[in-house]
Amino acid sequence: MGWRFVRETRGQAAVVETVIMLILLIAFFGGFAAYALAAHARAVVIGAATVAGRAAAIECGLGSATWQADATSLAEEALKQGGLKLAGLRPGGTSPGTWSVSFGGTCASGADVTTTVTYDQLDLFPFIAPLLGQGPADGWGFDLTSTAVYPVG
Amino acid sequence: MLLLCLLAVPVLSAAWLIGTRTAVQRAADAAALAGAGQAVVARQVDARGDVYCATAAVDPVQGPAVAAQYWARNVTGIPTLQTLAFVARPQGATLTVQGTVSAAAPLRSPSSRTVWTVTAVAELRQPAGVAACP
Repeated sequence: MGWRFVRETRGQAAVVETVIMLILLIAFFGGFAAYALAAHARAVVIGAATVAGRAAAIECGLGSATWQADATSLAEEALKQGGLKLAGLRPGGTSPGTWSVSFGGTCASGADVTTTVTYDQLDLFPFIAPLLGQGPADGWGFDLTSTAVYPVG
Repeated sequence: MLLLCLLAVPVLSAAWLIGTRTAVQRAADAAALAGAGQAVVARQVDARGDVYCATAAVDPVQGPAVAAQYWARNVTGIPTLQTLAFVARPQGATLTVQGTVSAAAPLRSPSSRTVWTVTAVAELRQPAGVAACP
């Protein structure tokens, strides 16, 4: 009676421990993959802001009337080539995949143009955004933002 | 589990550094462009004694100063990066930057560091309205 009780108790404890370890491992690898995807998206957003900001400053300096639209197209292309799934331009919601490009500064010789690219990254683990130095989660995602400041050329 | 966590730290740091490296390169690019835009008119005298003017040099004072401004505006939040050299040549400007960034920065740990050297080159731009010798 005594030994049988001990064996059953040990068996139940092993099952509980296995379940706990499985949950921890799934959370670990899930978080790991989510962080890697977010870090990749961050690099892509920084690259998109660089390309768009450079083009905006140069085209603006050349007197192009469509420098903002052209820079936005370049940013979209850079985001797509980076493998990010784009859900649509903001304003249109802040769900994961939405993105935006905004411009600041002055389009004049001697001034500078500020180009900000924002992409809403899917976020299933709340620790990822702070690790990447980004803002807090907003619903199912958090904003990855990068700003480029270029002189008007 | 502890071993897995220890293995994750360098991988997570590397992923963070890839994006940061892109931001650093952009900062150097913008700084070089801004610095190269600070062109000055150079007086040149040929063998016959004729004086003529050409925009052929980056201002050695304003170039680095403006480059530093744009550098700082593009790398906000990465305070350990510094500009080491700004070489102004007739055909443009080369900005060399060396930065020390903690590889464990995502974990706010200064224990591990990596040193980057970033170089950006920009072409000299002709300032508008330059016609006569100063």
